[in-house]
Amino acid sequence: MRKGVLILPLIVVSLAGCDPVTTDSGSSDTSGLGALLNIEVVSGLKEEYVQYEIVDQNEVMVLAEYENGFENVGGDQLTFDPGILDTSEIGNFDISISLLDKTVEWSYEVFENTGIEGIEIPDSVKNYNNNIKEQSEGNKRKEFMDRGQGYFVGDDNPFVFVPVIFTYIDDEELFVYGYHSVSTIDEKRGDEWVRLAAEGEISEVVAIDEYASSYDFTEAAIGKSYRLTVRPAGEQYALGDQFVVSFEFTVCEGFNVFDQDDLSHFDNVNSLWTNYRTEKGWEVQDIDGLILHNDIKVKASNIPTGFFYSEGDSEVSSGDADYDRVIGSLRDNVNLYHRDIAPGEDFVFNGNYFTINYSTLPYVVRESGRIDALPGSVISHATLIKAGYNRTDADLGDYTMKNLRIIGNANRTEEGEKSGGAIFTKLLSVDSHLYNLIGTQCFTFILTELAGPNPIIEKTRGYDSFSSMLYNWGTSNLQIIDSEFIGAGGPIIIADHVSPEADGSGGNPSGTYFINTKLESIVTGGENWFKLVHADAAVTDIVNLGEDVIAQYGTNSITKLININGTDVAHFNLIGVVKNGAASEPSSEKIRGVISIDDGVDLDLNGPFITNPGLVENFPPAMPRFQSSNGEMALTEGTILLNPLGQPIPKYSETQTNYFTGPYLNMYVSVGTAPTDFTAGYMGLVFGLQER
Amino acid sequence: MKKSVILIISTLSLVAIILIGLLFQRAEVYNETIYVQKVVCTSIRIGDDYYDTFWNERSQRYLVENPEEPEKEAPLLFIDQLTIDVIYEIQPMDASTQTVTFSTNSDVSIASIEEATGRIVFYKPGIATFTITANDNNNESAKLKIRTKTLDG
Repeated sequence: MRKGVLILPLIVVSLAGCDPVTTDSGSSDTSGLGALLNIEVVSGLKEEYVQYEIVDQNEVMVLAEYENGFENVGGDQLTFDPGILDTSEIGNFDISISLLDKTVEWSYEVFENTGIEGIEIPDSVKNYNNNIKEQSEGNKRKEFMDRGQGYFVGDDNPFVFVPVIFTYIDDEELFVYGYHSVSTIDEKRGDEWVRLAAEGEISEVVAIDEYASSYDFTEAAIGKSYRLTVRPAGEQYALGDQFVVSFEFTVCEGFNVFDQDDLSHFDNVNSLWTNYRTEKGWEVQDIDGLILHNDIKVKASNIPTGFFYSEGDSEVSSGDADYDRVIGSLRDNVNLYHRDIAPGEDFVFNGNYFTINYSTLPYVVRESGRIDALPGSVISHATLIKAGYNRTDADLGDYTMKNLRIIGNANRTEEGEKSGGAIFTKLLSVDSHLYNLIGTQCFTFILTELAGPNPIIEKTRGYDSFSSMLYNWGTSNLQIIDSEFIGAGGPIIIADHVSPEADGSGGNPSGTYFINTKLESIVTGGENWFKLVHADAAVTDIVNLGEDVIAQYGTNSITKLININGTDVAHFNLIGVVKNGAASEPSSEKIRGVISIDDGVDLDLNGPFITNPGLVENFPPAMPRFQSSNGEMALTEGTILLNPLGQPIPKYSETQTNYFTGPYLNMYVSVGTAPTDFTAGYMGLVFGLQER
Repeated sequence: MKKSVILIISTLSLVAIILIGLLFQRAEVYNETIYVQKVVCTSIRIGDDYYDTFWNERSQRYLVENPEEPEKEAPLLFIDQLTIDVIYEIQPMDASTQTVTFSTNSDVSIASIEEATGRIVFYKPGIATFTITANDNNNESAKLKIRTKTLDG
């Protein structure tokens, strides 16, 4: 049953207008209608507006009279002088509306808004409050691990705080974009809030524009917490809780970002952004930090076109096999927002618990310029945000990114084109601390490059990536603390030895150290990543090892059968892969590298398990070696396990005891070269040991 | 029909069945997450009565629609402890996470909403905005504004 007594009657304000006589297209095509004789406003404009009322000039409609008929023409076809129907000031005003050579004048009055029925905190603040909430047990993956950092406001540019204002005139809602505000500022001193005096005290910490609702904090306010309370100006709004809102925050160094255009000021590397800002008439902002005040949906239209392939591009020809896909696609190896942080500088990227969503960013179609006839062969290197520039300085700048949710454009999926998804962030030569992030659907979430970043990833969650969730490109000291990574399309982490010497030394070996971090990537080997890196051929061997060899030695193994639609399918929990950085698939070159998980025995391709003369003598090359996180060792000849002395290990059926214990199993692949080279491995893998 | 033709057709059919089976099996070896792209507030319910809502672009909110005038907001008559249920839908319909959480940042002396069920109670006349947030990491949400008045308000 609908309608009923609970709906109150409305007084409808109707706008006068004439019925259209002929066409209502708004089209500029007036062929056949003859010369334009006259225009008359029929809708979309009023004679009275409240101050700050939103006027959509596209909704203006004029009736155009021609020699041979009439036509309704919409606001997008009209010219306004002044260009904007301004309602920011009270008074009487005129605006001219023109179509071709005909003009009509429109007079309107702006009066004070006395129809405010209530105000609420801005929607962005509502979103912030929701984002820091504790989630129920089933929704913990969307909960920030640290919800108590608070809200920050930067001092580089004004903070705009416009409440949602509910205005009703004659019982009809009018929408306003601003209001004349009255503000009070309280400063936190110890445990108390102290009201700042309107004269003197306030001006030392903030410049308030009561019409623009902007609050420009000074350096004197940095590090201090404030409570801002606002209400509409006017005695009628001085009483009543429905007219008052308050918000608490701390002031810090940095630039306040309200939309994607503001985010562009992060980049100080790429000339494409310099040109972009110049074309738009934006001042260069010399910022030393960045704070989000809203969710940012990254759109390609707000990014310089030089980052994408376009029609007329010298590298694109209509005869290219990928021509139907490459136009508009993202170039590989680009860093869309890149900041160089010099030694001595300290830059904080504070998400304020908001979201950067780049789910609609176009994919990479050409990996390093290569043309593929079909999608799904690309391994993308394009990155949304990069911090650090290639430096050899001993001292590095400091970079922190915190309190941010990220939604990428490449989840774990069968869709091959998502192999061209973008990496969220790369860290190079800057001391990096990523704290309290949540990343989903990124091609790869975080990538560290070489020796520079000294990176720490802390209290961070990652889920559902197309490729590995983390990538260590030759960084020897990547620390990941109190975090959670689940559901990569391949391993949780790929860790490369970049440019090793022939004997596996030199270059930039990787070192990854997990502390108190949940790691889980349950895969079958059929995921797109395996095909992409040609690892699918190795899946059969992994499954055989798990199901037929290791399974004989315990109730646990590296594989586990999970029933999918009536069929048992072997799954394995692939935590990490250590490999040669020059290879995107298994290779035969020696490397080093370490994956360490809590207090368990490390996967160390140059560790005692590999190099101890007492052990290697008994471990012939070209035989996979295993060592559990509790230290049990074994190798295999393909069907059974052997101990370090080369003797068959008793099976579970004889001992009723698991041979391998601990949460993980390290596997060293194709160790050394027969017949005498026992040292340095080709590849290392870390599996989660699963109860079957 | 010749036996050889029947045999060929049967064999091809069997192969097709096996391949299709393998295809579907492979497609299901992991559950691809389908994220919520949109939360839509379709209507509200007061007792047994349903009232449509409509999306207002300027306010970025769903509003209760006047059944006599489409795309016009209608205030609700306030009665003590006015109870309203929010009716919503998730898009796409096969999103992996179907649950939402309800919240409000409005003056709680005016109205409250139960986090799990979306049941609203108005304690006094006024305006309140309620947020419906999907529980997956896309964090999509929709806002619903309800205005209540007394007869002489």
